[in-house]
Amino acid sequence: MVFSSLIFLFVFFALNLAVYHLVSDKYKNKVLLIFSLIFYAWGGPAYLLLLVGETLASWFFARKIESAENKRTRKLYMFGECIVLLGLLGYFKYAVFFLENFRMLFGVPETIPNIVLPIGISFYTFQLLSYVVDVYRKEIKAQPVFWKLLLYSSLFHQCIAGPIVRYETVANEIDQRRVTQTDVYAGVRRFCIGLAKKAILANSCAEIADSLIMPGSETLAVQTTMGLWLGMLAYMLQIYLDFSAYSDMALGMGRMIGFHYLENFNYPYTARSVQDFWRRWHISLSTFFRDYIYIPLGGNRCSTGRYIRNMAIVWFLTGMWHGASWNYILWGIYYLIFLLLEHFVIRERIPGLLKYVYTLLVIFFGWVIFKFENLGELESVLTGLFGIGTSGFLGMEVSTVLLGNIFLLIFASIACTPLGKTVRQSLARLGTRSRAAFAVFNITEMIIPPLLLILSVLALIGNSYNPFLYFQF
Amino acid sequence: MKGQRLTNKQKKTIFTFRKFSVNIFAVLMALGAVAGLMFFLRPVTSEVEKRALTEFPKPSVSTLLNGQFFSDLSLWYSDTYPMRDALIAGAQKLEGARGITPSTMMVGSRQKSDEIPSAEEAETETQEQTAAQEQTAADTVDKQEQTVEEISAPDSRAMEAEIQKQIQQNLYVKDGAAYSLYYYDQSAADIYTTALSKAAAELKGQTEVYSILVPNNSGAMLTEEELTALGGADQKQAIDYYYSLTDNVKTIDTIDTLREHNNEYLYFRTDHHWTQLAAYYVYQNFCEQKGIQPNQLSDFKKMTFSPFLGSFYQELQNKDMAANPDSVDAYVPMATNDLTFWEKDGSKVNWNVIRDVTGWNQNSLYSCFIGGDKPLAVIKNPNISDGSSCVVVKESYGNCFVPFLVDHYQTVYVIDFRYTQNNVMDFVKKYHVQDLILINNISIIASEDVSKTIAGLLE
Repeated sequence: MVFSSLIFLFVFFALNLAVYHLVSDKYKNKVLLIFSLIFYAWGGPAYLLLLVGETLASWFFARKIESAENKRTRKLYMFGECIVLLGLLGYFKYAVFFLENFRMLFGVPETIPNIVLPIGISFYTFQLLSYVVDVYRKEIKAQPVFWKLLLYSSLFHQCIAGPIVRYETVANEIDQRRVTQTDVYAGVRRFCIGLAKKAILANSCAEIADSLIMPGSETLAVQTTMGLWLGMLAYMLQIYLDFSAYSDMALGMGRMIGFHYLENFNYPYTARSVQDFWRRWHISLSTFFRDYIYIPLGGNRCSTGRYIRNMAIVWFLTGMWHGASWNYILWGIYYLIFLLLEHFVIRERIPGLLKYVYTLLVIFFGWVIFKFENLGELESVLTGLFGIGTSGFLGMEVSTVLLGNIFLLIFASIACTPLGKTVRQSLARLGTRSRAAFAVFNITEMIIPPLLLILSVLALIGNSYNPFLYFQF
Repeated sequence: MKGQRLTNKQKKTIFTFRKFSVNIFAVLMALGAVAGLMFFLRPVTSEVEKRALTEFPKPSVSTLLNGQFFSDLSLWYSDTYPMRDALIAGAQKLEGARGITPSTMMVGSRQKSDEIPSAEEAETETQEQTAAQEQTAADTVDKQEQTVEEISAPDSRAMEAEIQKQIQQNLYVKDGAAYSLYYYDQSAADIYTTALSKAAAELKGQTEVYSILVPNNSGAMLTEEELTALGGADQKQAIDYYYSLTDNVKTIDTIDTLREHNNEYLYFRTDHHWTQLAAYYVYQNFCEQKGIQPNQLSDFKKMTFSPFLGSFYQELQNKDMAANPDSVDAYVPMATNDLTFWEKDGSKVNWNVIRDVTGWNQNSLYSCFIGGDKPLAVIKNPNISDGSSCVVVKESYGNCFVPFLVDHYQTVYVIDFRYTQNNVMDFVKKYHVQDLILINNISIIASEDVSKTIAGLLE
């Protein structure tokens, strides 16, 4: 089930909120767990076994690690956890990719099994791994109650699309959480903003991108240069708005009932360098790699050679995590190159506003690599962006799309910046002195969440508009 | 929040407003949930979209296990949400705010077009390499035979989607009128023309086969300069080429005549069909080819239905179109206005050649002609008893052409290739039909699937 669907909003979530508020504190966690399991099962009940199984293994290993008497036993159990979780992730996510490449090189095996990627496996595997590692490092206590750990791994707010919540963030809140009025409002507001970002902005940007640069389409093959630029721009907006919208909704839903997950995005498109971008983009993933791979390997407090090796490992894995295809690996390496360049060559040498332009361009071309899994297509788009091999510079289709979505594109771009937040804060500040500003502040505080909800529902219903030319009844 | 500190009173006010906001949110969620539960309010069909909405999915063990049932359920829930059509109107207002709609624009996306070989080339080739081509033809037929089974029960819905794509994939919009671009497909052309030649050869001496290929509005109405600027394939070249590929088939000129008259009202602005006036000019050419005298347009009784906002408007919701809707002129045959058609479920309906559609939904007015698209329609002319008859195989472009034929035959049979289960060849032989007329829009048949369907009926 996706958050941006009517059935999620008006059946699942509405029911969840109602039941959660009606039952006594004692049962609230159980209600959450049952709803989360239903939510996960929605995408295919068979995979529920996998989620429960991985959680059971992690629960078991963490308990064993905690009670182990010597270091060796602890290591052994830690190793067991890694084998089970990474083994399952490897099987479900990467087996087909490896077999295909193996076959390309050696001609065997002839048949490659068709393995479906279970929803959310990349997210909950990392959550559970971080939990067991943290127990191993004695940073947290192991959770003695299995179903509470299952609540952590399966909680529908973040189970299938992140953020990758660390156990320590929610450890205390699982057992005792207090919800203030401010929490409820902030949660509702955040959820509505996320929903609107997804349903109104991201989905519309996706439409533009799909109409211009859908991989494998005839249109892509005969696209104009400006068509490629516009399509990629829309995709760049889409991917941030879409992904950060899911995090917004997750944070919002958590906050409504007293969970305080950490921020996952911090206006990444306003970054001043590639390194800065990665501190602002999908923060829960980059901190995962930082804390569990990069720093244990020695980070940057070591020789240049080792530093480069550490970076290479982290960025190869970051690429791989995003998908089992060469373009994602290329994408990781692409960022590795720019990060090393920034570290050794560029440093702080790019002046003023050019920093932003440089960073956005690097990100833009990064998304090109990210988008096209077919390497032939990737090549033709990359050259096409420079006017090579396209069907012209600007066609009327492209100018129609541009004009027809100009306000949307402007608005979506603004939504990628902290402008809205700044305006709200200024209004609040002004409100302490001016009665008019105070009134405007209060009215916008009141109206914005429900207004966004209404508009999002309209947009979601509008998405299903699919007129049939001849169909008669 | 920096600046001055908030007073307690101010804090209280903020809390009140925020609490109010949360309450509105809760009420809206509750309303949405309750409305979603009103099963009896859920629509089954959509008037604006002219389609049946998603049905409640039937669960099975496998769809339950792999999650298909649940994703179908989600689709059903949103597709049949109560008051959907009204909400969609609201959604479209929201979408309209995305940007500016220029009066001249291009909607949809560019497609690949095959190169059209010139008609002369095709003829020299025929002379030089008849054998080789026959081989290819035979191959094509072989290929078709493999697909006959699918064809015998065409999946109408899939074909609707395919046809919609053919027509609406790329629209040029100018001053409240949309023009459909044409893309040529070589294999579709081969399949279509091979099937016609084969049918003509088989029916030689008994039934005359006529091929009428109608351009779409861009090919007939736009200037050469505009067409060159727009891209897509040349429809005149394509029609000439199609015509050059068929043997023993009588071909009727369309595009030259229509272009000569293109200062007249030949195509709708808001719909993808041609007007009956355009069909009349092609009917004149048909009469000339057949060697009969056409009736004068002024001899027919004319009916007019308006305002008409057709398929292009449904797709684009263009304001210029709404401000200047079309009107449908329909000419009633002199001999009779009675027609019988059969529905897909086999039921028989007595209807009119030109039905008075006054008061119908404004997007359905083109349905005034021969009852719209039916598997089979039959018109009997009480004034003729010479046993003459024709079969018209068509999609909706043929609908406004058929009424002109009524006065020339004792019986006119109309078969819509998308819905029929009849094999046209068997039908023609069984009823000793004189003329087999295939009238189709060049864009609609420029799809391999669609031409295969027609070829399958001519097996």
